[in-house]
Amino acid sequence: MEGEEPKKKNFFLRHLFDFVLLVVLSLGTASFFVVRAVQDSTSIPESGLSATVLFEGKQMEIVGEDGKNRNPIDLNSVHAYEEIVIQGRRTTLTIGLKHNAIGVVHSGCPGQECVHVGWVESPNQPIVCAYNGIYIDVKGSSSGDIIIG
Amino acid sequence: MKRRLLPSLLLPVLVLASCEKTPVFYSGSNIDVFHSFFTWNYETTEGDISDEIQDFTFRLGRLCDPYSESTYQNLWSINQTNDPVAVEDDLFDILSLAVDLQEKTEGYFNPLIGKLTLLWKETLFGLDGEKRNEGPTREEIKAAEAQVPALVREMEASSLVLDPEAKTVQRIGDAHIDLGGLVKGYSTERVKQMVQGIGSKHYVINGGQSSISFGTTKDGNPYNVSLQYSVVPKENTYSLANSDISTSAIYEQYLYVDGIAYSHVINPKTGLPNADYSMAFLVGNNSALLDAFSTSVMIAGPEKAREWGAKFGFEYALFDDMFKGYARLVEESETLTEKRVSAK
Amino acid sequence: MDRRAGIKKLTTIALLLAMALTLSIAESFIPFGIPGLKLGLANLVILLAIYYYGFWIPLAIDLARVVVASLFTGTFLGMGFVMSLSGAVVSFFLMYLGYRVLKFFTPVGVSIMGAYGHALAQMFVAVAYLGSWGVFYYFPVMALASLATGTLNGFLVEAILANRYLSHFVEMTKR
Repeated sequence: MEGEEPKKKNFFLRHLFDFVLLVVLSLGTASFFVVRAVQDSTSIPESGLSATVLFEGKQMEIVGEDGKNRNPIDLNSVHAYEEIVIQGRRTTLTIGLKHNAIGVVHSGCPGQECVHVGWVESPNQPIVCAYNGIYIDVKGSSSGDIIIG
Repeated sequence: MKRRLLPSLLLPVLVLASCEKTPVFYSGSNIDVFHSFFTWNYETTEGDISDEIQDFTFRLGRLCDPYSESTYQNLWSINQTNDPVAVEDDLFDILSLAVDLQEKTEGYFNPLIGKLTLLWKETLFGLDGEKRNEGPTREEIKAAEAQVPALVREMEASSLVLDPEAKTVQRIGDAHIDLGGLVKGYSTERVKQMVQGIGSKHYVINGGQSSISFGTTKDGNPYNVSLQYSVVPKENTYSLANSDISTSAIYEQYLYVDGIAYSHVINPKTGLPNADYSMAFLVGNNSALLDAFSTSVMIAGPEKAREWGAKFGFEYALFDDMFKGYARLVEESETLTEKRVSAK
Repeated sequence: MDRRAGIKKLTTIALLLAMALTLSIAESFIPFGIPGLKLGLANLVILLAIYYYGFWIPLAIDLARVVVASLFTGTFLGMGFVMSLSGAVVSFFLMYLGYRVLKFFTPVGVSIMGAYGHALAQMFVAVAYLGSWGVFYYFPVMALASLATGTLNGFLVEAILANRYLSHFVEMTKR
C-alpha cells in the first residue's frame, strides 16, 4: 500500500476540482460584499435616511399624529425614540424609529427574523417580515430646503 | 408698494373618515416692509388669512417706523416728545417686549439706539445706500467715532416708561427709539401664531431672511436649513422642523477699513459698528426673542451665548470672519450639532 | 429474500427521510434575515441518498421532506415553503448532475454545488415574492455559510460512502 505522503497528496489531487469550485464561489460571493460597500459609501445621503414600508409590494399608508401619511418615513427628522404600529397580513408589527435608524421592535410572526435584524442604520439594508407581507426599504432621503444668505 | 401674490393652490387628495375638508396651501407677501420683505406660505383647511397677515405686517411697519410721520402714533411720534403717548395695542406690545428683552440681553439689545444707528448708517452706507460702492473715508469714520461717546451717554441716560393701563409710552431722555433689531422677529412670531391658530402644521413665515419660522414640509419632513455665507456651500446645513430661526450677520451690509469690519450691527455698549464675530444663527421657538438675542450673541460672544441659550431656551452657532467674507464656525450648541446634515 | 430486501429498503428510505426531516426542521431555527432562508443541512442526507439510490427515490425523499417539514413548522404554502421547495429542486438537480455527469467532482464538490444552488434559488424566489432586489443584501452571508456547510456535508458523505459495512448494507437493500 502507499505511504503517508502520497496519501496527503492524493487527498488534494482527488479534491482538486472541489477546492477550485469552492474558491471560485467564495470569491464570487465576496464580491457581493465589495459591491455592497461601494453602494453604502456612495449613497451616504446628504440628509439622512428614509424608510419606505411596503405591504405586499405596495407602499402602505401610515397615518401619523396629524392625520397625514408618514410613509416614506423620514428618519432624519426623528430625534426622540418613537414607535409606530402597523397592520401586516396576519399580525401587527411595532416599528421603532430612531434618528436615522429603524427596526422592528415587535412582531407577531413566528419566525421573528424581522426582529432579529435589529436596527438598520445604513441605506439598502431591508427588513423583511414575509409572514406579514411587510418589506421595509431604507434609502437616503431628501427634503425641503431653506437657504439663508 | 403693496403687492400680493396670487394664492398658490396645491390640492393633496386626502380622504379622511369623516371630515372632508381638503387642506390648501396659501402664500402671500408684503414686499416693502421693515426695510425688507415679508412672505408667508401655509397649508390649512380653514381658509385664506393672507389679507389679515398683510394688514398686520403693513400696519406694524408703519407703527415701527422711526423716520416718518404717520396717521397714527408711531415710533416717530414718540421720538419727538418726552410726554406719554397713547399707542395702539400692537405697538405697546412690541415696546414692552423691547424693554423686557433689553433686560434679558443685559443691555446688548437696546431699543433706544436710534441715533447711533442713523449715524453709522449715514457714515458707512449713506442714508439711501448711495455710498455702497466707495464706502466712507477714514475722516468720515473718525468724525462719526467722535460723536459716539456723547450718544452712548445719552442712550444710557434715556429710558422708556410704559403704562399698561393707559397704554401709553413715555420716552425719558433724548435718545431715539429704533426697533430694527426686533420688528422682523416680532412680526414673524405674530404671524406664526396666526397661522398656527388656524391649525397649520406646514408653514414657512419668512420675515426678511433674518427671521424665519417654519413647521414641516408638505410631506411632514423637516427642512434643510443652509447658511450660505459659508466657506463651502451648504457646509452649515441643519435639519430642523417646527422651529424659529434667527440669523444676525454682518454679511448683508459690511465693509473693511484698515482691516476692521464695519457693519450695520451696532454694539450698544461701545456705540461702534464693530463686532468680534460675523454671524450668529439661533434656533428656538420664539422669533421675537431670537431676533433680539441673535444680534446680542453676535456682539457678546460664546460665553454669553452659552449662558443665554441655557437660560432662555435656544441653540446657537457662532461664526467669525476669519476668512474675510465667509463665516467660520467658532462655537455651536451640542444639540444643534446633532441636527447637522453635513459634517462641521 | 426479495421481501426482506424490500422491507430493508423501505426502512432505509424511511430512515433517510426521517433524518432529512430532522435536519430540515432543525435548520429552520437558524435565522438569516429573511424568513425562509435556509442553510440546506438536509442536503447531507439527500446527497447520500443520491449516491445510494440514484434519481427517483432521493427526489421523492427530498420533496417529501420539504412538504412534511413545512407542515411541521407551519409554513406550508408560504413564502418559506416555496423557497425551500425551489432550493431543494435546484440543489437536487445540480447534485445529480455532479454525481452522474461531472465525475471529476468528489461528493465534496457535488455538495458545494448543491448548497450554492440551494442558496441562489431561494434568493430569486424571495425577490419574486417581495418585489425588490434589495433582498440580495442578505445573500453574501447566507451563501458563504452555505458553502461552509456544503463542504462539511461533502466530507461527511465521503466518509460514510467509504464505510464498507454501510455500503454493503445498502447494496443488499437494492435487490
